[in-house]
Amino acid sequence: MQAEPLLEIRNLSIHFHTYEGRARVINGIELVIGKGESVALVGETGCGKSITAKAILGLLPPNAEVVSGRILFQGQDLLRLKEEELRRIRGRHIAMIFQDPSTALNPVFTVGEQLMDVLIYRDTRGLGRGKDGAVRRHSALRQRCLEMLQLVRIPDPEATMARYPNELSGGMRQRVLIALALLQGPELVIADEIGTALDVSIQDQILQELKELVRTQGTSVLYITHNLGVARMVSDRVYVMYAGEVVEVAPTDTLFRRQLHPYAQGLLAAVPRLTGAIGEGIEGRIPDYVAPPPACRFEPRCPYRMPICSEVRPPLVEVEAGRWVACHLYPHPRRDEA
Amino acid sequence: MAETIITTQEIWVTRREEARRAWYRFRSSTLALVGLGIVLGMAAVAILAPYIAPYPQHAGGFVDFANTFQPPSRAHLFGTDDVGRDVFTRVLFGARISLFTGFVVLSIALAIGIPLGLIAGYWTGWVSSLIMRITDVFLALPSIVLALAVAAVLKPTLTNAMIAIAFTWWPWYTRLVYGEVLSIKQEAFVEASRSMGASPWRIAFREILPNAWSPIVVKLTLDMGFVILVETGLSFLGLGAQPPTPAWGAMIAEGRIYMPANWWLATFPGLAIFLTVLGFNLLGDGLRDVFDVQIEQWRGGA
Repeated sequence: MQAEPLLEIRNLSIHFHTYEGRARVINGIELVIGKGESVALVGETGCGKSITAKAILGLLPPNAEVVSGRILFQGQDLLRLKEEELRRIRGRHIAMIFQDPSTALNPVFTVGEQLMDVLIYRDTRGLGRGKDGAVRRHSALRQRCLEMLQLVRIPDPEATMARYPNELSGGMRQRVLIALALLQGPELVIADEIGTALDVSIQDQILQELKELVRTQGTSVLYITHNLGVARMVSDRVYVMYAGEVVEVAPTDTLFRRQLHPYAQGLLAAVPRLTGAIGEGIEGRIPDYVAPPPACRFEPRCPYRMPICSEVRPPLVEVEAGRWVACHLYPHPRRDEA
Repeated sequence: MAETIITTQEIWVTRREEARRAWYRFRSSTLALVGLGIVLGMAAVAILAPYIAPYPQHAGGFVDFANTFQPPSRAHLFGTDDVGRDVFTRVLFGARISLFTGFVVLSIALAIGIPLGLIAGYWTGWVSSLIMRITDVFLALPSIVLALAVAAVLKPTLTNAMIAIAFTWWPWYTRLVYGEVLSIKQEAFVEASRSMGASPWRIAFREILPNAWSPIVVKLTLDMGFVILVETGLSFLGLGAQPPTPAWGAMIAEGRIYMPANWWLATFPGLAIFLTVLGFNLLGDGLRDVFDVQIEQWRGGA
C-alpha cells in the first residue's frame, strides 16, 4: 500500500441487541482505504457490508452497539465524535451514494432544489450570509450544481434541475445521486450497491463513468457490493467479507487470478459464466450471529476444514506482499496469544 | 419516465399539463365545483361586505324602532329584526366573523399541532410518548364539551371563543402529522439526507413536512366548516360573540324567541351557516380526490 491512509478501521466489532440475544454482526474487522484509492468490500447478503458503511457515517440503527475498535478518518476517530461533529463530516468529507435511486431523492422537490439546498445549507451553517452577497453567491452555487450535473453526464443540466425525481429515468436518477454525493467535494465516497436497481448495461456505463470521475477528482471510494463483476471493474483492492469478518484482502488483479481463502474461492466459483457449467455455489449459509461458530466462522461450510479450525480463530495475516488472509491453510508466524 | 424530454421549455409544458390534469380531476366532480363556488362566494361576501351591504350601518348596534319585524321585501331582502336592523346586511357581515374565526382557529391549531406531531413522530422516546398521550386525552373528550368548558371559564368574547376552539382543535393535527411522519421517515431519502449531514430539525421540517402537506390541506378545508359550526354553537349559547356583533350563531339565538311568526330572524343566518359548511365540505371532498389522500373521517356531532 503506497498511498497514505485516508480511512482506517481497526478491530471494529458491532453487536446488535435483538430478541434472540446479542448478535455479533461485525467481529473485529480491519479495513484501510488510501488516498485516491478505490476499495471494494465484497460478500454475500447479510455479511455486514452495509453495517460497516453505516458505522463509518455514524448512522447505525439504535439497537446496534459498537463494542470495540476505532474508525480513523484523517487521523480522527469517528466513533468518538459527537453527533454534531459527525454531521459536519457527513456529506462534506464522507458522502454516500445510495443503492435505490427511486427512493433516495425527496419526491416533492426538484433536482435543482435538492442540489442547491445542500450547498446553501453548507454555506449558511458556518458562515454568515451577507445581504448583497446572497444573490451573487446563489448564482455561483447554481453554476456549481450545473457543472456537477455535467460531470455525471446528464445531457441537459438546466432542464434536469427543474425536474422532479419521478420525471427522470432510473439511470438519470442514479446520476443525480452521484452528483449529490460529490457536490461538496468529499474525500471519501461510499457507494452502497450502486446500480443494482438498474439495467445491467446502464449499471456498467454508470460505474465506468463514476470510476473515471473519482479518478480525475482524486476521491477515494468504498464500493459495497455483492457483485464480483462490479468489484473487478471498479476497484484497486478487494476486501472479501464473510459473516462479519474480513477473510481476504488483495489487489484486485491478484485476487481474481487466484483466491487463497476457501470462501473467496467458493464465491468466485459460484459466479455463473456464459461458457461452461453453472458453478456449484457454496454449501450451507451464513451462520447464526447470536451463536456463531466458536473459532473460524467459515468452518462449518469449509471443504478444507481441519481440527484447529474449530479451536483457534485464524488471524488476518500477510501471506504475500499486500495480500492478507485469515485461514489456517496458510502458514503464518506463530503468535503466542491465541 | 421519458428520458428524451430535454429542454427547459418542454418542462413548462409538462408542468402546465400536470396542472391541467389536476384541474380536470377536480372539475370532473360537479359537487366539488359547487363547493368551490360557494367558498369563493362566501370569501367575496366577507371581503366586500361593507360595499355590497344595503345598510352597512346596521351591522352594529343600530336601532330603528319604526322598522322592526319587517318581513322580507325588496327593501329588506331578509326582513328586519327586533330593533329594525336589516337581516341581509347582518348576514353578510356575519360571513366575515365566521370565516375569520375559522382562519384564526385553524392557524393556531396548525401552529401547535404540526410542530408537536413532527417532534413526536421523528424523535422517539419519552417526549414523544408524552406528547401523544396528552393528545389522546384531548381527543378522548368531545371537543364541543371542552370548548364549552374553556369558553365558560374565560370571558365570553369572540376572541376567547376562538381560543377555546383552537384549544380543542390542535390534537387532530398532531395526530395527522404524527401518522404521516411515522411512515415518511422510513423512506430512503430521509436516511440519504442524514448521510449528507442534515440536522434532525432540518430533516423533520424541510424534508418530511413538505411530503405531508396534501392530507393537511384536505383536512384544513374540511375542518373550516366544522370550526364555523362550533363557533356558531358557542355564539348561540352566549359564549362567543356578543350582541350586537352580527355573528350568525348569536343572530339565531336572538331571533329564535320570535319564531315562528317572525321566522326570518333566525332562518337566514341558519341558511348561511348551512351553505358555508356545505361549501367547505364539498370543496374538501373534491381536493381529497385530486390529492388522492386518505384521511380518517371523524366527528359525529360537532
